[in-house]
Amino acid sequence: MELLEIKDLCKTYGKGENEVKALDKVSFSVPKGQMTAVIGPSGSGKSTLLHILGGVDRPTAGKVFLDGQDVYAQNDHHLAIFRRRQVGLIYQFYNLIPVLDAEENMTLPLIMDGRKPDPKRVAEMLALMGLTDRRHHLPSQLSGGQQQRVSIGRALFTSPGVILADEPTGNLDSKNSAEIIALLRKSNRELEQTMLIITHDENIALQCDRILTLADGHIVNDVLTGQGR
Amino acid sequence: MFEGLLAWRYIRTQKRHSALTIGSIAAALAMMAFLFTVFSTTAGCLRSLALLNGNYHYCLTGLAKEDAAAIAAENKDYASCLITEQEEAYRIELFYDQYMGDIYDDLDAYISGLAAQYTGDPMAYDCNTMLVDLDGITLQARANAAEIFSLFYILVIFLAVSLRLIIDTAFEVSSKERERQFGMLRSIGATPRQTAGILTAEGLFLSLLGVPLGTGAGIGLAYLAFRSVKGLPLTETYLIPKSIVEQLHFSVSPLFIGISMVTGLVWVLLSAYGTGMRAIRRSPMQALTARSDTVKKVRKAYLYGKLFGWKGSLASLNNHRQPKRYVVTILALTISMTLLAVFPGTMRALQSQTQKELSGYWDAADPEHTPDLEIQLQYREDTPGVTVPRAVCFAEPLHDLENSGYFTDIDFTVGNRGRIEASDPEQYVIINYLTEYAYDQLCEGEPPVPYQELAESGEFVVMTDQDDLVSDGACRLEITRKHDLTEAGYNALSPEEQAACDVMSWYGETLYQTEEVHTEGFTIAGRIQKEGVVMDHLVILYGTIDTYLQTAEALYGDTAVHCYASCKLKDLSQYWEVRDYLDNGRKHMISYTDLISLQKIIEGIFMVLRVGIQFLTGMLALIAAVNMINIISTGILDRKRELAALQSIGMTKRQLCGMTVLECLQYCLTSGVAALFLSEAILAGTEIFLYNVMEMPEVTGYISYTQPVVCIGLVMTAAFFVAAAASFLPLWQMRKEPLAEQLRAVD
Repeated sequence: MELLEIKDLCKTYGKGENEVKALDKVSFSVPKGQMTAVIGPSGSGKSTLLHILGGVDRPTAGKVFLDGQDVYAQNDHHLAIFRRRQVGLIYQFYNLIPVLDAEENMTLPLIMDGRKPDPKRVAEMLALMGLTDRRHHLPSQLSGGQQQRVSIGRALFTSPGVILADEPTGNLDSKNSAEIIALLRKSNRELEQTMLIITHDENIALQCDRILTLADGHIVNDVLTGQGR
Repeated sequence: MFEGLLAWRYIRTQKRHSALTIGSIAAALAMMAFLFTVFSTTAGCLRSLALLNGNYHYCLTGLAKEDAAAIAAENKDYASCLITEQEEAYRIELFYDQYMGDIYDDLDAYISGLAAQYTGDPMAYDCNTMLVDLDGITLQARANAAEIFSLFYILVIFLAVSLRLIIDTAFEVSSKERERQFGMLRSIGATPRQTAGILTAEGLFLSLLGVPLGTGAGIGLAYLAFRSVKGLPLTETYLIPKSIVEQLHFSVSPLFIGISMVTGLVWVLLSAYGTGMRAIRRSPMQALTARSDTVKKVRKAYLYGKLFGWKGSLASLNNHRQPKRYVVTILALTISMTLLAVFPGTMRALQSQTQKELSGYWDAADPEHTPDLEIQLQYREDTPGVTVPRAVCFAEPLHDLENSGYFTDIDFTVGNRGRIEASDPEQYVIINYLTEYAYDQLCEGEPPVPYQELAESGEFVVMTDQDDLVSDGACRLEITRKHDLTEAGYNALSPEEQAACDVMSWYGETLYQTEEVHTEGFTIAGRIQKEGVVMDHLVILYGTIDTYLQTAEALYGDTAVHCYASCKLKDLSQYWEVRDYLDNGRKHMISYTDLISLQKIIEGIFMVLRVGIQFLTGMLALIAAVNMINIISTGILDRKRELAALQSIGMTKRQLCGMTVLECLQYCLTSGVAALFLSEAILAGTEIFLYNVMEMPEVTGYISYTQPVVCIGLVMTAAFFVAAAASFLPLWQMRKEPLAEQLRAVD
């Protein structure tokens, strides 16, 4: 069953002579529970694709369906609620809220939704992320790896349909990178999370079920790695 | 000079920051230039007024021509001297152009000595005190001037500190945003001095525009204020003589403006250099890895969170990111709100009390019925030996006042004390005689007997809370009759009789009076019913002025009782005409107390005080507003990426706006609540002080505890709208940029 469906996606920046096609009629679909890596050189449109999939940036043309729902048929308000409930975003630079501690950052999407976090689930998620003893630390008091784990926890906390990660290990050392990927893989397997990971690291890509290669706004290669169950 | 190049590039590319910094410098300079110009204009006006008294510091009078020449030749310390002829004598006017304290220990004593030497009268000289003080000619003058200017100096110091705060804040914001750039510059070889030099150069460049701009604005503002004051009907409404109004000139002191500009420039450079020095305290590595949104410590926002939920909690945490700036802004807002709330009531109380203290006539509770003039009437009979005003002869001056057509509400009330015959010694009677106006006022338009009827019959109406004390119809009173004696008549009395006499001074003459108690019959024609007005055991009888004039000598003797007429002017614009009328040739009026002019002077003084305090309040409010706008708008722009991240994880635009509104609300609420507590405490303290220490219980009625609530509420609302505008503008700008772009934004 296809959870994510992308049809003829285009994104153009600038006008006239300055026009740049970041994405040019990109189409693909992702089944539920698949962990997909998107690779490609700088400027190939990877981050643009991720932002469009995550409801952060509107496409110039084309459609994105998540669980059969046309994502961009929604207005800005509903798009925000869509991001909150159905997408989990993980960034290279974490994008944590500096005034909130680890636990508060992690539960923020749920709180924004007007729901109260279940203390048991909070404890479980903190344990899963290895942050139990860091739950009341501010981002500035955490290492890069720990901050990224908070960011992953935040993305997973509402159990969204899809997790989108933009170079989640790009800012981390190899040890932390390995831990983060292992954590994502574990979440993918245990929680059946659909994941799309943008990376430059071939080793990480090879740990995914599928690798999409982007170049100049087109998908130039789409292979299964054999990591799937 | 790569510092200058980088500073210039930064100014040109970061237009918003540059505009903000120039605006802050200009606002600071404008306030300083405004204050200095107001001061120099005031000093200039005062000097013009002093010169109205005479173009001299000292003037010796009543001199012989050769003596005047001898004084002029005696020493040449003066800058100029003028010898003129006056009433068959000569006068010499001395003008000094420098401080004379080094030459004469006491210039005043020296001039007095000259007067004594040449005229025999040590007082035969005039000192133009105001000019001596303003020009600082003597040591005493300098001390007086220092006393007067000390308030101004305090204001200047206060202002200078406040301005430094505004400029500092602007540079702090600018440098905070470039921490990483400074780190990068240092990593490629810039020395700490060069790095600090970039900000200093930037301060210098921005000053080149901000300082003249602010100075010009301040002078312009002062000129506008001067024109508005001069445009007021000063002569007609504030009764300031035309000759004084003509001397009011706008003046700009190059010295003061120079001081203001140099102070501003030094402040800017110090702020820029100080900010630069703070920026280089961090190592290049620390600066390179730092992010402008790094928070090391944060205070939990329990209360705000409880009140407004997670958005409130987040808003409060955001506000506390820069605790120093937050506290300074809250403090400035709180103080300006408190001043605004406390000031009107306290000023009203002080003004009314001052008026009462000074005049003794004002009724603070009923200013409408305050007379404009208290005119002392007299009638000098041609009786040998009797030169004092006679109680029985006031008809003529009273009619004179009535016929002048200038006055309304002429109130001539005379009275005496008596006692109901053979009654309780505690009981006593006051007998008053009223004009028709005063009678109507007393009866509030419902007289028990018409005034004319009362005048024709010579009867009285009574007012008492105890009706059994006196019944309608005939009654007999014991009253005191006074008789004036000549000095010879007094000397002829025996020592016992002299001891029983009243001896008093009356305008330089000595009065000798004897007293005798006698019983007279009065007829009560009606009653004035006013409960709670008259004390127990007191009866007041009211008759007409005509009755008084016909019977006064028989009843009270041949001396003065009361001889003042209180009047209100029909038309305030006739004030100067009335002054001429009273000053020139009114033989029945020996003096008058110009209450209205006194009141206008007090109003003027309080107006100046009010304007001064309003200026201070305005300045504080401006500092608070600039800081608040600065902190809120830059706070949002600094958090561009963070706010985008919040939206990317599901925060709606409405929630974002809600959070920023709550951030603004926290500034206003916190300062409002603090100001309310502070205001009420100050008012309570003032009331206790006035009641217990100053013993002015009636003044405390002017203190309103509800006024601060309304006032602070209004200011809070205004501040909230300013803050909301400061936050919505950058948010609105950010909305134009796609969320993905905002997420890519670097610090």
